Amino acid sequence: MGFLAWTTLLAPLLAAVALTLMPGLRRSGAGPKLAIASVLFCAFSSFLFWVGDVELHSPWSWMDLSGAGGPLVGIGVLVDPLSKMMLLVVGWVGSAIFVFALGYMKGDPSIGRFFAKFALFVFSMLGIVLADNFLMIFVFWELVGASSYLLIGYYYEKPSAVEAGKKAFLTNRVADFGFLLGILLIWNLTGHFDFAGIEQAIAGGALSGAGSGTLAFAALLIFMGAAGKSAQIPFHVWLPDAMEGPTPVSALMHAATMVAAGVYMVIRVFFCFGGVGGVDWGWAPGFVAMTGGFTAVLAATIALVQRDIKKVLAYSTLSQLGYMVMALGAGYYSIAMFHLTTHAFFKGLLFLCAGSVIHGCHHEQDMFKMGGLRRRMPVTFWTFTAGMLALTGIIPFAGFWSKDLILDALHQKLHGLQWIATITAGLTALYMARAWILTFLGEYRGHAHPHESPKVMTLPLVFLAIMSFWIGWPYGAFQSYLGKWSPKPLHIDPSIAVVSSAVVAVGYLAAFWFYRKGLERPGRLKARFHGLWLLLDNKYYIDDFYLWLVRSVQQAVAAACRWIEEKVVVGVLVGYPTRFTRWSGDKLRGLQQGRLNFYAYCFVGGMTVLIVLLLLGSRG
Amino acid sequence: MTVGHMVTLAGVLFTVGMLGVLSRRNILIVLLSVELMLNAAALAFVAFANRWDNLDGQVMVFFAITVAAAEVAVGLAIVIALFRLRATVDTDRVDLLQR
Amino acid sequence: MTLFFWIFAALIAGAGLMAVTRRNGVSAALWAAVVFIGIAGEFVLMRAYFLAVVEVLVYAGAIMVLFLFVIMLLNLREEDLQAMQGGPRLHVAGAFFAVAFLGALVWTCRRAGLFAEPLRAVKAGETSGVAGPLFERFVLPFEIASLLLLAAIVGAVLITKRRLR
Repeated sequence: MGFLAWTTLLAPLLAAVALTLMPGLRRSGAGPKLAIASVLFCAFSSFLFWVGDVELHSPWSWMDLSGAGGPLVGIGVLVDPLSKMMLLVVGWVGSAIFVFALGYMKGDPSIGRFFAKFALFVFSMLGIVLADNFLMIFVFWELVGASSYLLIGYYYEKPSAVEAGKKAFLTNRVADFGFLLGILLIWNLTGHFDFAGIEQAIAGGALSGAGSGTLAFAALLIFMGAAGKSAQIPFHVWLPDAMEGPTPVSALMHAATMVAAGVYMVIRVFFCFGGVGGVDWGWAPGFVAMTGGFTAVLAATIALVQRDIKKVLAYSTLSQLGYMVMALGAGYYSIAMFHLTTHAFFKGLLFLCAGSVIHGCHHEQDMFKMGGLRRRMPVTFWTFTAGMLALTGIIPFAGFWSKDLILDALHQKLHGLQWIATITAGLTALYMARAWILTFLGEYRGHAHPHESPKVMTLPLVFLAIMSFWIGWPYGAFQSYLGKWSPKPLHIDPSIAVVSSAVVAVGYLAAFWFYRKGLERPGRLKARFHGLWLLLDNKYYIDDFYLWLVRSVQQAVAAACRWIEEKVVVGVLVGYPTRFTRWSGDKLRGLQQGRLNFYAYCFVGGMTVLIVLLLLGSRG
Repeated sequence: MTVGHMVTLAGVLFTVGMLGVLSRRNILIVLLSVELMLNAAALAFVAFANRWDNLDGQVMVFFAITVAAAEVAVGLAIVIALFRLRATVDTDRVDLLQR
Repeated sequence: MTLFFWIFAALIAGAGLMAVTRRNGVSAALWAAVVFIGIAGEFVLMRAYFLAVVEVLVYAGAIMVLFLFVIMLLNLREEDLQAMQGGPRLHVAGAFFAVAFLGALVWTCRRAGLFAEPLRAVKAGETSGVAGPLFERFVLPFEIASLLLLAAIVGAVLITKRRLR
């Protein structure tokens, strides 16, 4: 069984390497299929693990410095309920997306390169999922970031894509700095890198009083890393730009799995954040939850004014990630995982539908140029509808259960956030319905000839739609499966459910009222609230602020360094030795006169000195 | 006289030759001074050969004189070649190695 | 014998001093010849008869003649000779070295007790005494010395040859 786990981890890597090193494989049709096979293998093994109730831990030690008081450094595969759940998500959603990608990227000249990088990403993601210690997770964390960079910049001839890739990587890097500090701090406090060891050390009460304050600080640093990967404020800026990548990439990485890795990681080390309903580590979890709430509502407002269908979904992802983070802050980690799972399915579905639409409209992404696709792309229409209903939380679709459980959790612990979450749900309905109406209803406003996508693309849509329908039903079993990660299983509170559904209904109605009859009503609204519209359209000017920050601060620092370099390093440290060397060289050169007599003098002088010295020496 | 006196005499001759090498600018005179120094050494050798009743010292002088002869021949040839090139035998004027 | 030693010693020292201080090359060479004769005399006093003769023949006779040839061949003009008279060329330093060197030499000899050892009389048949080792133990250096002379001859001729055709 351990062998199966390791193979699951390494199979995508082998596929990626094979695709990279063997151009023949790339050009033939077999290459992409090899990558798809590796992901299917992951789905298969995840199913086996789940059904067989497998639990294992297979560590592989690389450097054992524990004898010298140092750490144990190695990698290991950890299969427990949490990782099994995540494996199922990665495997099944991933397989669907890979199959879709085969159709979507057809005809692309570098399709082999695409699948190689895509498989590399799966490998990196699995590394995070199966990791048993902080160092391993950090290594794969960076690998995932690298894969993201590679795939965002896949269309490298487009300068905007290249810029987006850089932005993603750099933002993550800044966040990961905090992450690394957090890891090191934890090691300092507990002496362990492996999760089991850390959990034991904390449970053993090794940290009380001042120690717990430091632990809270370390936990926040770790959350900083999660915030970067899961695009919470203030690290959210890279996710909308990441839409430059091909749509399957957006679906798998920037909706279903990679951005969820931050949430997953926090759940993994939940004992650092105050554990499960046990000792409350003060303000750390609250801070986390507020970050989530802030992100959720902010992103939802920006989504209202987006024209690009992928951008709408990107901000939606930000918002839903905020929901998950709120659940984390409330201490209900299993519910956060639940929402992660449902979200992976329906958001993945929505992105693939968007891909189908874009593909059908010949690479048009502006919704204002779409419309009426309901008739021309029926399968896409119905599956998108299913996804939308799931996302907005309409019973009995999956999103209803997971979102309402989060509302319940917030109701238990953090009342204020519950209202923010509810309002966000309304906004979610509004922007999603808006997108739905603009894209599928009414009359077609564009110039292309839209057509339905081939089966290789629509079948995954159907699969994901079916999953989005029922996957939320066994929410009780889900919570008990991940029982270790929640204080107590929650049931849907009917009163909260009614309130949230009402808010969602309001959102839908508003969308219909504004957008059903064409674009002039929203046009008038935009004109009346032009200032507000500008604020939203420019994403609250956060990006501009960052740019200014970089320009002013970084340039100042760079100028200071340059001054030091010129004056101190070159002027003094290099200048003086140079001048001294030159001067002494000039003086010494005088010895080489080329005059015979002078040389003779030197001979005689040296000889005499030697003789005298020898004689003096032999005297004593 | 004692061996010491002879050796001291050799030393005096050596010093005189040394002074000539150091202070004269005419290459020919310099070469001449070198010959004086060589002879001083030969004198010392013979003195020691006498002292220790071992004629190997005299054999040494024999060779020294031979080598001196060869060296003078070649040295003077070089001086002639130099004179043809630079029209001078002034050591101060043959300083091409300096610049 | 002591008297002759001092006569020859004075000759050597005096003529040597004259040789290194003459402006005229020919004068210097001739004074050097006198030095060599003086040395030959000392050789005789130390019963190195063969060497004394060799000294006169080779040194005074051949080498000095060669010097004179070259000096007269170059035929330096009066003003050149004038120009080569220099100012005091760090004679102070030279004198210093000279004193130091001589002092060291005398001191060493004193310590080695050389001033207590009179020069001896040599056995008769002295020339054969030199010839013996020369052709027996030192026959290899002897042969090499002859090669050296050959090389010197060839070298000298080559160096002074005008344009090689």
